[in-house]
Amino acid sequence: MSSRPHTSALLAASVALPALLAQVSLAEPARPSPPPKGSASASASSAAPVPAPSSLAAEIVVLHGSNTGEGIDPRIGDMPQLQKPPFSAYNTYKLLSQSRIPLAGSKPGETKLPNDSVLQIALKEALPEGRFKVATSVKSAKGSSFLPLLEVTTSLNERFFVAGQSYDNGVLWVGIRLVK
Amino acid sequence: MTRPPTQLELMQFADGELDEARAREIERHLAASAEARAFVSSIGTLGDLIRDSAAHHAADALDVSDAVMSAIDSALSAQPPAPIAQLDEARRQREAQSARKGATLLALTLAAAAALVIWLNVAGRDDAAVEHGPVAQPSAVASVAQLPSDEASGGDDGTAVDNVDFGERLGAIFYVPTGVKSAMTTVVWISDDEASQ
Repeated sequence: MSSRPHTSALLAASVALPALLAQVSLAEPARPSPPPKGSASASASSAAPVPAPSSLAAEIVVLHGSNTGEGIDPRIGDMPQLQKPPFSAYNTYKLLSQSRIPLAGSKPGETKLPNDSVLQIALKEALPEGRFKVATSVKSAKGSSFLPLLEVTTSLNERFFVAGQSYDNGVLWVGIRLVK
Repeated sequence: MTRPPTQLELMQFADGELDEARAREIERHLAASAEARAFVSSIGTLGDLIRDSAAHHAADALDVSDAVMSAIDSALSAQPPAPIAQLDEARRQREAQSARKGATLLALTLAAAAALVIWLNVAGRDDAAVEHGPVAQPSAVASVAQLPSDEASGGDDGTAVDNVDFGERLGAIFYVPTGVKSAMTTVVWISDDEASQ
């Protein structure tokens, strides 16, 4: 057996291994995020709650992925992820909208998506080292829940995506990131 | 006494990739272990779920697993075969290629299994949805010049999924390399079943 690493195997492993790691974190939903390297330990996570910046907001970008062969909207800018699975399932990406939802305290904010579903987002907790726990949900236009609940721990300017809603012969990719 | 199979070996067993001797040992283990049987069975169930999802989206070519396979096929086919000088060399290359494909399939199986485990973990949960209440109004949609580059992203800690409830839908979590250091972009994918119903 060859010991030489192979691009395709690495590609698939890049999907598999982090997903398995994610499963571990799902198995312990209450587990605090790991302390960053060099930080002081467990006592940091048990410290008093960290106040969230009053100017915190969620930046929402809505991309439309389709296979119409038109390439990537230049307004999207440099996003190499679009060339990698699962983004690469689509060869055309258009930027549909960009908006900001102020996150005042734990009060949820919401925005309507192009397919009339509603994205709701709430800041659950400010964590040490500039990390934030955020809850998101998506309700379809018919009132049913498309995504009942997604809770993530993220940092400022770290964009994550919620994708899969069908729209206009393609799919919506909703990018969310916290900004000041 | 034979050693108990690892999860990887159980996945390989489900995929028919083990040698006969080890496969027989694992068959004996499965006969005695309900937990191992359930695990192997879940691998098969995942395959069914992915096939169902692919069927739903076939018309629009929206199947993510197909896209992943396609990308891997492209990567494989992008490597032109080297000139072969000797029969031994040809055999060695064929075996190496076979091993690489095996590794790819194993990694894909891992990905699929991870997606299933995540889905199974969250499907039964009864977590409350995001609390509804007075909502902050988003600011007006800004005119978009260009999105800020992801190079401006924060640290390497990435976005960790703490909890996800896909409800009645099939979902998966992807961590996509951004190309910037070791940073990853988290993608939560939910299949839009309603669109195909």
